[in-house]
Amino acid sequence: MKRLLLLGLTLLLFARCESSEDYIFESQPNILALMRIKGIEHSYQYPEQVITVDQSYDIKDTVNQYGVRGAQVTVWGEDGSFFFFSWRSPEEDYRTKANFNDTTLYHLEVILPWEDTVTGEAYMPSPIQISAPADSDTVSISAEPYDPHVITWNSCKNTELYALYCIPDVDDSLYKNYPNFLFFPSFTNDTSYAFFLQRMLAPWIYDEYYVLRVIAVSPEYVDYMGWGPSGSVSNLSAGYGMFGGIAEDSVRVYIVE
Amino acid sequence: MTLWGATITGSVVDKETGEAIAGCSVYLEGTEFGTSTASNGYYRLDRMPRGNYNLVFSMISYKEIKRRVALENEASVLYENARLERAPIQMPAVEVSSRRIEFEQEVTASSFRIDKEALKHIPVMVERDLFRTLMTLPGVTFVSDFTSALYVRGGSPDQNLVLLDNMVLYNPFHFGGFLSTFMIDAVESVEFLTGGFPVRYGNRLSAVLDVESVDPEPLGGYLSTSLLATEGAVWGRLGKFGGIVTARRTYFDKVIPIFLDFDFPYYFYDIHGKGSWRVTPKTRIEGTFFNTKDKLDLADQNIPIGAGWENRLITLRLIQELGDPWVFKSWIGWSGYMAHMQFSDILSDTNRIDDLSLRSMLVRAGETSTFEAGSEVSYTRFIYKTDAEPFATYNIEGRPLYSSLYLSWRYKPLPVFLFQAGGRLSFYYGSYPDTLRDSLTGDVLGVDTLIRRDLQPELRLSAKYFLTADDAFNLSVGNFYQNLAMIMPQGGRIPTNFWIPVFGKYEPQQAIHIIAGYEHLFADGSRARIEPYYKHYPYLLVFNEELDIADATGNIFSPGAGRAWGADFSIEKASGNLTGWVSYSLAFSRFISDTLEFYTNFDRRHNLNVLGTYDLGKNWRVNAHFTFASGMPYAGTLGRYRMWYWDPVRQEWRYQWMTIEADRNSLRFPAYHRLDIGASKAWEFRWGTLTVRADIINLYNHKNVMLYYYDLSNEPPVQRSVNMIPLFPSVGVEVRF
Repeated sequence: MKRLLLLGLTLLLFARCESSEDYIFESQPNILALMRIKGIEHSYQYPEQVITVDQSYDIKDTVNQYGVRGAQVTVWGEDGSFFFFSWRSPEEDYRTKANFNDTTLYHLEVILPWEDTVTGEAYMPSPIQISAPADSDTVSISAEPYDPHVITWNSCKNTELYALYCIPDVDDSLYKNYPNFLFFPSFTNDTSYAFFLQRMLAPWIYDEYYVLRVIAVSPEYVDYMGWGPSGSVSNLSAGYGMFGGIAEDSVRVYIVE
Repeated sequence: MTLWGATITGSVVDKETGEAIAGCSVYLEGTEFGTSTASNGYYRLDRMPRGNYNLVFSMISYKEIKRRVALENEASVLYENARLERAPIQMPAVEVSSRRIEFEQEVTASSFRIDKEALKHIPVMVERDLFRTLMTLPGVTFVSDFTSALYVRGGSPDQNLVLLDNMVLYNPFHFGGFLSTFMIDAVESVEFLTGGFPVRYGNRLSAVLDVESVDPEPLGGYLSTSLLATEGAVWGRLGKFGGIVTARRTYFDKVIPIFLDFDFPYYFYDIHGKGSWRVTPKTRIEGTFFNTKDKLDLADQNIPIGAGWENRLITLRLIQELGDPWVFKSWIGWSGYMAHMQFSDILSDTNRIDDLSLRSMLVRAGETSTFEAGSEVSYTRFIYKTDAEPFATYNIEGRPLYSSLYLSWRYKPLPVFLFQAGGRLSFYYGSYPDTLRDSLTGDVLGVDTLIRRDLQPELRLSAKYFLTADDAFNLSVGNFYQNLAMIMPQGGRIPTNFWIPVFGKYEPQQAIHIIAGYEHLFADGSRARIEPYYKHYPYLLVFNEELDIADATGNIFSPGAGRAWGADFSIEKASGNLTGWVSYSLAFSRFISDTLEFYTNFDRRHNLNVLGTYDLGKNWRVNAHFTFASGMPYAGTLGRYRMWYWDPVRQEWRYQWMTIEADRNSLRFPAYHRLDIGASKAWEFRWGTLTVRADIINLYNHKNVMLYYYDLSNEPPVQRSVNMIPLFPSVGVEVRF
């Protein structure tokens, strides 16, 4: 009996060595540095660039913090063509107006207030321009789908795929809160797409204007959005967020039956 | 040890039916000499010392017989046959001398034998239940109050072989977990092997539950009712024929709305019958019928979920005594299983199994040496079908043939040493027509035939060394194959089981057991044991929880390896007014693949059970059961972040919340603990017995967490838990005649 008790005590001592995997969660910076390139001509004219720097939201500890204050955000081209001088907007984003080209490798560096540094690099896509249909064209869909209208655009460098949207040209407050799947884009690797295929899942309303928008998406943004085969993947050293670019162009078409 | 001695031999039969009684203890009172009868009822005691003794015949449920015998010289051979009479009163839960003989003649590592009397007196919740009892044994753990599935020494429930009268049962559980499909009064005995099981058993990796149907007694019956179910049985004997039918049906659908304000359109029923025919004094034929059905249909609640499953089993068994000491047994049986789960018109899962098996065994049982040879042929039809229109439809269908031969030898060359060695050679052949379909249209593109052929040698060795008359070391090693796997998330939170055989690229699963043990037998038959073990899984199939439904046959399982280790401790008190046991298990269970290594969902580090029944006298009995189990792992959410993106439609920056998931199973639920108590009072009348029983489950209403979810409607989100059974009172009445 004494031996049994001794064995039991040994077992209990051994049992104290529980080997669970303690997981210590550290908040990670989540950075979106999407360089949005919008130009109706083949010239490098860019709208305002926005870089959002968030801190992850910890559910268990309810940190409830986002919009990191005091980060130093820098973007520069290897050829010295561009330098991003960061300043914070009232919405707590970092904004500037910038010119990019599609041949320079750009670097992102975000020095965080707690002295972590997040880096990334990417080439930017070329500007995109829709060549057909022309702006304000009238599109008759009665011949669809046997004789579909084809949307065409120029080939863009540093682009993984093109995304197409056909959006009713009405006051956007009417559909601002619609779920995203109602506006799910069509994707293609080509530089043309059948108008009918883009709209095949949505009901038509005739005699209305629609905005036809085509986006050239860089590989980094494709991975970030999870449109590729691997799910959502970051190209930043932090493991969250993205540094990359998109170029977009749109035309307004009038649709009749 | 003496080289001189007389011999006593003979047979033991039932006084009323004339049937042989197996496992009857025969011993010389006041000595350490004894044995138990073989399956043909024969026994033999050799090398008995000179003297006058009381020869005792003792068997549970029978009146004990004592005979005065005189052993006068070395040449004397006494023939002593006994006809035992059924005991009209209940016997103690544990029969002391049979425990002693089991201890001395068998390698008892990882082995638990429970007879029907012991089962009836065990305190468990609401209804006496076999699986709830097994959960309290060392080495066994559970995942929730809502399933009776047994997780044995780091093995998942699909690794347990469940046999009813030697036929495989594929889903011996009911939805909700209160009850298994076995009714206690229909069970004669249970052998539960938590590891290192002998070669008689195959095609599973972890454990064996071998259930024998009750042998029909003279005319009798009972009717028992509680808040959840009504159960009844009738049995009888007429000449050479005997039979018993036991049935049970639930009425959850009526009771649960009273407590929970929720309609629960669910019921199950069980029917278990057995018939026996003693053709000649040496030939016996037995038949078993078993049918259970669960049905859940929430359609009337406007919830488009339905689930159901059904076990059907028929066996025919021949027991032929060939003359002392040879016995031949043969079984043929069919075990059918059908499960179905439906979610609206979107998802439908169906599983159907038809298992036709033929098993035979030949036993030569001697006092020091026992040989056993056997064979098994099993032809099975499996269908597993999923309809997830319009995304995918697939059908995994196969007709595997599994055949085995085995040989086993148990030998006790010295009074202090005993070993058992066995070999099993199995051949597995499976041909599976894999229908290839278009993932969008469902059109059949073609049929690809996948063939598997595997030769599976298995070796099992076990030994026992006696330190003293009451202390022994056990050692057991062996390798095991399993040719089927369960489609089940590791947490086991779907209500039914879906089985498929290994096919195509998936190999048969394998395990190796190494078990050491120290055992002490107390004078009253109580036992204390400690057993460290190590289980290695060279190849293991785990259901792929990220299954790509468009290529189900190609990725339905995640192959990998595993290991489980730990130590089990138990001590019991088997006699006196207070009976019960304490069991504790320390366990580790890991799954390892090329890319992942993690603790399994059922990796409970500590599991403690304390059970006790106290006989107050005057047919009053009180009982209590306390369980403490450390928290199990789960894959949880650590945090979330805003994933920003540019919305080309609305021309604005938007975000969606993304969660940050912890490493697989790296978080743990809080510890589980619960105290159940109960009391019963019996009144004896001329016509029978009336028993009233009351139980309280989870007496202090501890909130045991089953799962967590996040309430995202709050800002910030709030973690909430779904808890297991709260405080739950229950009453029941049983009439036995």
